Formats: sequence, C-alpha cells, structure tokens
Amino acid sequence: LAHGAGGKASRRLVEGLLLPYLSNEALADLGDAAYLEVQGVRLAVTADSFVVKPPVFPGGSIGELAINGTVNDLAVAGAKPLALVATLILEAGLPTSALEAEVAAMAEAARRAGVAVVGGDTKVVEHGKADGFYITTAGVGVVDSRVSLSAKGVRPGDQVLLSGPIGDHGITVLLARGELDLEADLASDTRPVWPMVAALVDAAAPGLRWMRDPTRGGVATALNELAREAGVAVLLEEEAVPVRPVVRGACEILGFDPLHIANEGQFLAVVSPEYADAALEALKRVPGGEAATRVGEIRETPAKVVLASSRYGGTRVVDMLVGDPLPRIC
Amino acid sequence: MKAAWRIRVRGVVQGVGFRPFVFRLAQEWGLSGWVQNGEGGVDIHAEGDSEALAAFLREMKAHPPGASRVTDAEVQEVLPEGHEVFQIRESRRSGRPTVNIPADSAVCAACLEELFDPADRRYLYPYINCTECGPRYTVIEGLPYDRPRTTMKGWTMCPDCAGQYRDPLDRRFHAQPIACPRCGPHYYVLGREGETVRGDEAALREAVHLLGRGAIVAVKGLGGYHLACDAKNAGAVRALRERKRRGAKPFAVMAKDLNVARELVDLSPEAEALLTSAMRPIVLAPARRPLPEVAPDNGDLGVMLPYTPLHHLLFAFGAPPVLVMTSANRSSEPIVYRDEEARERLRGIADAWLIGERPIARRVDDSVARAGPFGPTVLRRARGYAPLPVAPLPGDRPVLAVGADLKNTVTLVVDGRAIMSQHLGDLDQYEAYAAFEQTVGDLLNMYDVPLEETVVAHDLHPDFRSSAFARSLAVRHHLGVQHHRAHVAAVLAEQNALDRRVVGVVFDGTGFGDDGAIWGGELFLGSAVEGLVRAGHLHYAVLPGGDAAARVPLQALAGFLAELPEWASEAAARLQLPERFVKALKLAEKGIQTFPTTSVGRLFDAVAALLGFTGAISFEGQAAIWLEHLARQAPLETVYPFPWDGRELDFRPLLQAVMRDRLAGRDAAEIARSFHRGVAEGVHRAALDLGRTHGVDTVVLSGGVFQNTLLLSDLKELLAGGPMKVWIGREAPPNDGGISLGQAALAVVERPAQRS
Ligand SMILES: [Fe+3]
Ligand SMILES: [Mg+2]
Ligand SMILES: [Zn+2]
Ligand SMILES: [Zn+2]
Repeated sequence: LAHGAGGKASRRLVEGLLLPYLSNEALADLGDAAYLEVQGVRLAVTADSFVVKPPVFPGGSIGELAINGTVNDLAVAGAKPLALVATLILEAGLPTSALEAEVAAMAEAARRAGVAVVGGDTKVVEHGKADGFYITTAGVGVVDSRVSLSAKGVRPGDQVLLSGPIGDHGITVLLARGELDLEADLASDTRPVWPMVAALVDAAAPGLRWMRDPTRGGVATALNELAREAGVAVLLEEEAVPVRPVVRGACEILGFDPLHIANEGQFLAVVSPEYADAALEALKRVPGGEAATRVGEIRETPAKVVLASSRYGGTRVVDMLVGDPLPRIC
Repeated sequence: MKAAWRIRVRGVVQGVGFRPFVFRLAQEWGLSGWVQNGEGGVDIHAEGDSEALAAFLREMKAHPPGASRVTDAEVQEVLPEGHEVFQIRESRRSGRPTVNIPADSAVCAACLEELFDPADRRYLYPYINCTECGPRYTVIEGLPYDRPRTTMKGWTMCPDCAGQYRDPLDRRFHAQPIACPRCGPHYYVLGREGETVRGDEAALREAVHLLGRGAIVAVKGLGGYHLACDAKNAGAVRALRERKRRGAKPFAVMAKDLNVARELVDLSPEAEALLTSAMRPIVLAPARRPLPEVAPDNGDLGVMLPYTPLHHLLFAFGAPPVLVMTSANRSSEPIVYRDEEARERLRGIADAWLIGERPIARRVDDSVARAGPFGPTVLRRARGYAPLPVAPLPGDRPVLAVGADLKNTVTLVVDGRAIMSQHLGDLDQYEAYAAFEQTVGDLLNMYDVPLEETVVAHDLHPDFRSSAFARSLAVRHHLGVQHHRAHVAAVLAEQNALDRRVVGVVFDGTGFGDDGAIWGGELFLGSAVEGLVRAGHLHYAVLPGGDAAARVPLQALAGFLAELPEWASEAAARLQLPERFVKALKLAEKGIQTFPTTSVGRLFDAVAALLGFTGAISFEGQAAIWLEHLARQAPLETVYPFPWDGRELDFRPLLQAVMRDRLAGRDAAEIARSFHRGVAEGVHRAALDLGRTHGVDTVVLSGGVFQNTLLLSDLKELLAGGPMKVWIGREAPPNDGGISLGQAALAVVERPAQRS
C-alpha cells in the first residue's frame, strides 16, 4: 500500500477495496461526512485518523489537527459540530510531556471550535510502531435545516468560492521536517471553519450547493471529485487562486502544483450565481475570512474535468494528485 | 502490336489529381481502357500499341503530378477487353477505405499563373486551387473525399466551376475545394472595434497597409491562424512577444520568395529543396544576420515560403518582404483555428483579423524541418505531411499508438501502413488534449477501424494523459512501450528494417524507464523484432524537484553536481550561483522530491547553467539551444573526457573538466565547444564498442538531444571513418513527435509473451 499522499491513489483504494464490502446509501455519496436521520433530526457523522510528521509544527500540532479536521468535515457537510470522541494510539516510550502537550492542544482546539470531547480510548503499541502517536477522532453535528448539499445539485454557471490562501499547511509541515533548510515565515492554517460556514449559510443558504475542505490532495483533488460526481467541468482562474509567495516559491523548487498541497483551515464552496456576491461578502466579514475569493465557475463541458486557465498561459488540465509527481517534461 | 496492360500504382496517388493525369496521358498516347482508385492505390487498364503503352508507363513514372509520389507500378500483361475510349471510373467504396487521407499542398505553379493573370476568372482570388494543390486534410470532414464531406459543402458551384469539376480533361476535374470569386468564399478584415473591410482585394490591401505600419494582424491560413507582423520592425516584433507572453522562444518568418530567404539564412541545396517542396515546411537554417528580436540567442532562423494563394497575394500587394508568421495562440496553447476563438483569444494581441470564410476542419500547424548533417529531417510533422503514411508496417491487426504527452502525435496502423497524425502539442493543455481525442476519433472513423480489434500502444509513464486515455479504451489489448525503445523503433520503422540489429543511442530529456527512474541517456542493442535490450546508459544523477529541474537548469546542475560533492561546494562558493542552486543541492543531498535520472538533456542544461544560463527556460530545449549557439562561437581546441566502460557513459570527468576550466576563467564558448565534442566522442566510442562486440554495423541516433546540429556534425565527422552506418529520423521527428510511430512499430511485431 502506498496511499499516503491522498488523491487518486487513495480514491482507488476506497472505491476498489472498501466500497464493495461496506456499500450503503449514506456511504455512496463519498462525502467527508455521512448524513443520518434520527427521529426527525438530520445529523452528520464523520471519523478521521491523523498521522503527521513532525507532530508539532508552526501554527499547530497533531492534537489540534485531530480536532479541527473532524469538526471541519462536519462543517462542510453543513453541520454545526456538537461532540467528538477521540482514540489515541501511543508508541511505547513516548515522553509523557509530549502526550500531555497534545492533550492540552486538543482541549484548546475543542474549546475554540465549541465542541466537547465526550469520550475516547487509548492504546499503547510497541516501540517503533506508531511514529510517536496516531489520533483518531469521530464527531457528530446537527445539519442546518436550511441547507441541502450535494454534488448532484451543482449546475453550470455556479460560482466556486475559496475561503483563503492555499498550501500553507502542507508546505509548513514539509518545512518543519527541517531537512530543507528553507527559511519561511509560514504557519499551518489549521483552524475550525464553522464560523465562516455559518456566515455563509446565513447569507446564502438557498444558493449553497456543495462544500469541501481541501485537505490531502489539495484543491485539485477536491474539485476533481466534484467534477466527477456532478458530471460537470470546473474552470479555475489560475490568477484568482490565492497562494502566498513563500508557498509558491517552495512549490516551484520542489516541482509541486500549489493546487495539490494540503490545507487544514480552508474550504471550497459552490454557490449559485445569484447568491455568489452575498456569500462572498458574508465570508469576508468573518475574522479569518478576509481573503475569501471567487476562484472559478462550473461549466457543462468538458464533463468531469478540472481546468485552470491563465490570462496568457492557456488552459491546462488539473489532475488529482497521484503520489509524488514524477517528472514528465522532456 | 496491340496489347493490354494492368498497372497497379502505389504510393500517394489519391486525392492528388492522379486519375485525370492518367486520363490525359492515355489520350496523348491514343490508349483506351480505364483508371480507378483501388486497394491502396490506383488501378489502370490500358490497351493499345505496345510501344505507346511503354511510353505511357515511362511518362507516368517520370512526371507524376506534383503532390503525388509513385512508390511502385506493377505491370501485368492481360488480354485486351476491347475498349473504345479511355474512362475514369468512379471508385466504389467496398469495406474499409484503403485510400489515404491526402495532405494539404502548397499552391501549384499553374494556379499561381492564373492567380496573377488579369484575364483569368480567378484573377487575385485567394481560394484558387486545383487537383494538384490546395487544402485537403484541413477541409476534410469525412471519407470518401467528396465535396459534401468537406468544409466547402456550404458553397454551391457556379456553372463554370461545375463544368471544370466534371471535365476529365480539366485540371480541376474533381477538385473538391474548387471555387471562384463568383461562387466561393471570400476574405474580409475585422478591426478591433468590429469595423469591417469586405472584398478580397480591399481586405488584403488593408491587411498589407496595417502590416506596413507595424501592426499585428491575425491571418487565417490553411490549418489555423497566424499572427503576422513586419519581421524587420523591431518594435512590432517586441510588441508581439510581449502581448503573446512569448518569452524567448524564436518566431518563424515567411520570406516573400526564395531570394529573400537566401538573404536571411544560409541555404544548402537540400535546405532549398525542403523550402520549395509542396509541403512548404518552416526550414531551420543558420541565420546570415541575427534577428535578435525574432530569434534571441539562436544561431538558426526558421524560414518558410508563401504556400497559400493568400500569402502570395499579400506579398504581391506590398506586404513587408519578411513577415513574422507565428501560430496564433496565447503562449503554449495550440494554434487557434476557429473564427470566434480567434476573435476572442487574440483580443489584446492582434490589431486586426484577416478572416477567410472557408472553415478549417481541424487545426494543423506549420511543419518544421531541417537539412541536417545526416540529411533532411522533419522536426515537427504537420501541414503538408500529415496524415500521409510514414512507413509500411505490415501486420494482421490494426494498431493505435497514442504517443507521448509532449509534442504529441498519434499513429494508426491499418492495412500495412503507418498513418501518422499532425503534431498535436502538449497534452497538459486542454485544447491540445481535446485535439488529441478528436484526432484519434477522426482517424479511427475515417479509416473505419473497429476499436475492439485494435491493439493500443502507449507510453509506460504512469502519469501520462495519453496513457490514461489509452487504458480507458475497450480494445483488443493494451501494450505499454518504454519511451526510449519507441525512439529507436521509430527510426527502424521508417527505414523499413524492423528486424535489423542495431546499436540504438537515445539521448533526450525525460522518459519513464524500466526501473522507474527517469531515463534519457540510453544505449540499446537488438532489433524491433527480437527486442531492444538496454546495453548501457549515462551514469545516474538525480533530478531535485522533478520537473522543476527541467524548468530551471540550475536545479539540474545541482542534481548532477551532487555526484561530485567537492565540486558542488566549489561551484556554490566560487561561481556566485544563485540561491536556487544551493536550495536544489540540498534537495538532492537529502533526497527530498528527488528522482534518479540518466537524462542527457538535463546534462546539457546543467552545463548551460554552469556557463551562465542561470534563469528559468521559457520553452523546451532553450538551455541546450543556448549552449549549442555558444559553442558555435569557438573553435575546437580541446575535447573533454566522457569515458565509456562497456556499460556506463560517465559524465563526471566531463563535468569536472567543465568546472575546472570554468573556475580557471576559460572562455565559456570554448568550454561549450569542448563539451559538445566530448559528448560526441563518448557516443562514438560507446557505439563502436557495442557494435564491435556484438557484430552490429548500424547505429541509430534518436531523441530530442539529437536535434543539436553541432553534436550531429561532430558525430558525422567521427563516424565517417567507419565502420558503422548511421540512421536518424527523417520522416518521423527525432523528438517525442516520433514516439507514436515507434510504439506502433513495436506493437506490430509484438510477440504474445510480451503482452501486458
Ligand atoms: Fe523523448
Ligand atoms: Mg478529512
Ligand atoms: Zn493548383
Ligand atoms: Zn465558381
């Protein structure tokens, strides 16, 4: 198995191996969270596991990610996060101070996100088996009754909005490994996105069609999934996608496309054209949402394809990320 | 004595006025019988005096129509059928069409004469054509080639045109795009604000006027739009470069006539033959006087001659005698060919549009060719060449080869012929990818090839779009072909020598290797039939940052110098290389986002970086072209060592020599020259050694690096001493444009055991 990078390879794993065994209605959507109807209340549930090297990096740590990752999966499902449970898998020999720091980070992140950690479990595995520790969190939230999100509801002409600059998290973690000696004034963007989603819902719920947090595989992968599920084209305007110069510089040296880099505090939303302005204004008013912007739109053709057009560089096809990008230029 | 002959003519003999030509010739020699299009050629039944028959055959072979090519005329003596007259028989389509889709051809001498004859009814008519010349592939929408299946279907012939179209003795008998000012399409000029000048002559004169004033005019030609401006007006050329965001990539120019071309570039007889051929490619030749705005840091200039009546008219009306004529697009996009697209995409680039009403069925770029040290070579196969067969590839099942992702072409093998598409471009670009899918569909449709019986060959690169497309097709089976083996096989295919054992030397930028590394400095031994075994390669280096190392030569340098650690720190300390080098070196040392490679293309980049090319490239091959240009400015004094140990060509001594002389302050041009010769001698040594050891007397040179004419002329000199014969791509480009042909060849001879 070599599926760590996310994107195409992990999708193949999910579709090829997991779905045939576990198929059911809620799962078929392949969203980050599943919907359940319990006595008239629509709930969203989700679970995610967190593995990150190094566990502590500028702007965050694994404990914070474990909370934010799960509450964000709920948020982009249109659900206000309610409660989480957490499982920690710890490597024997892990300093207690490190563990304590992460538990504190989780508590602080949960407080900030307005959720309670209501349960969990701890397992200790042999030394050398868990890169320090893994965290799994599962969460539940109540879906806002005004929203109805589905890739299938996306229509040509709909606008694609992005909450802020991309690639900060992925590049921060890469640099934090310290092997590159690249100095960069950069921090992970990990944060709960619910406040921004809530503002968006208030301002534009009837026009809100789809949301996703572009974590592993980045914006490119999230939008490719949308294009495939909705059977539409997504046309990005390359120059409209905000990327910090340090992130762009690192990507240039490493041969990466910023659209493939992971984010932990951004989200994409597709909004019908008549609500696009209201949605953007609302987002920009939320602290942390000032950089929200329109990055593209939905087209009918070429179906299932993501394109990025630049004013002078033509229109390129944007693929999902497949592992590490192999050189192709002759 | 009365006799009857059945003559079966093969070659390019359909859609080029061959039947009317035979008809007229038969009339001349008083023969009766018939001519018709048949299986893969033209069939003739001729009866008459046997001396007349012999003369008829001689004449047919000696002076066939300009756009045709007779490869074989098989004669069989038969019993006379007693015909009274000679007839052109309609071709019946039975089963799969064996006719080749004809290629476009430059306007012929007879049409040109009429074009400028005030008494002719097509005087100054920009759409004049005949059976021997004019548009074909760019107007064909389907086969058989008939007017209703061309983009001329919207124009009804006037009685005069219809008369010529039906008269077997007329030059325009069955000329499908036939037209005249009365019944055909016209040109008009559109200004930025939508102001329009109508009337062919008025429109052309307006365009000429604008060009004379330094404007940039979008001109609709055969296979797409050009952006034209006065090549000698530096301001206009600079404006074009800026508006197109063209970077440093050279522009091609169109010279008014051969004399003007001779003033621009040094033309060998071979180069002149290319320039004036019916294909009319852009010919790369040494510039006599550099035109720095047109082709910066480049010893060569790409020149072509007018090939449509429109071009001839522009010059006749007084257009500047040398025009920049570059594919109309935004940088790196494929050529624009639809009118709405041209207006939309070229807004802000063109000052005016010269638009012709005849639609273009598909985009076909200008071809690029060169008369190199080993003879003429097509570097970009498109207008005039595509989609004619490039080589016979006998086999019992159709093959579709989808090529590589850059400089993509596709090849279809049907009924023993390899039909190669026009250059389609870089499949990263959506427009190019769409053209790729459309071309595959076009070729399969027109040749009526059932996909389920087809073998589909593709590159092994896991991320190539062409490969993903190939795998998505429900076909007989798929065959992954290693990139560099395809480079060798392309040459073997056009030499019609798939079973010939050769030493194959492939030097290029990037190809996915058997071991998952990025290959590009490979030596093979064997034949297409028995298989090509990797017999040697460049010593491995690394590419830090993957494709970033192809974009920025400094990163390639870091990857190669990582193999010479003491020199790497010297370079950083004493050559004041930009920060980028140090960062890339770190990636290489730590192995982060770093790929093993044997790429000779990147070795050339690395040396270019050492000698002063410290920026990013703005087009493929730029650093290598820069280095070649530099090397040409110095005499050959020393040769750097590039040892071959029977398995590896070791770049380390070569790079060390470059570094040592660089630090000693030797002239960069002299270093570049010594480097080129060193590479040539390494290749020579390795090829001779492998040839001797394995009893092989032919060496194949392929891959993009062998577009370097200095390297080739060094190799020619070295190999002239014998004993090895050299084969290099002529019909199929040595760069990745030739990959699809090589894939097709390997699929044709594939043995079941190799199937994936
Ligand atoms: Fe290649
Ligand atoms: Mg998640
Ligand atoms: Zn003609
Ligand atoms: Zn007419």
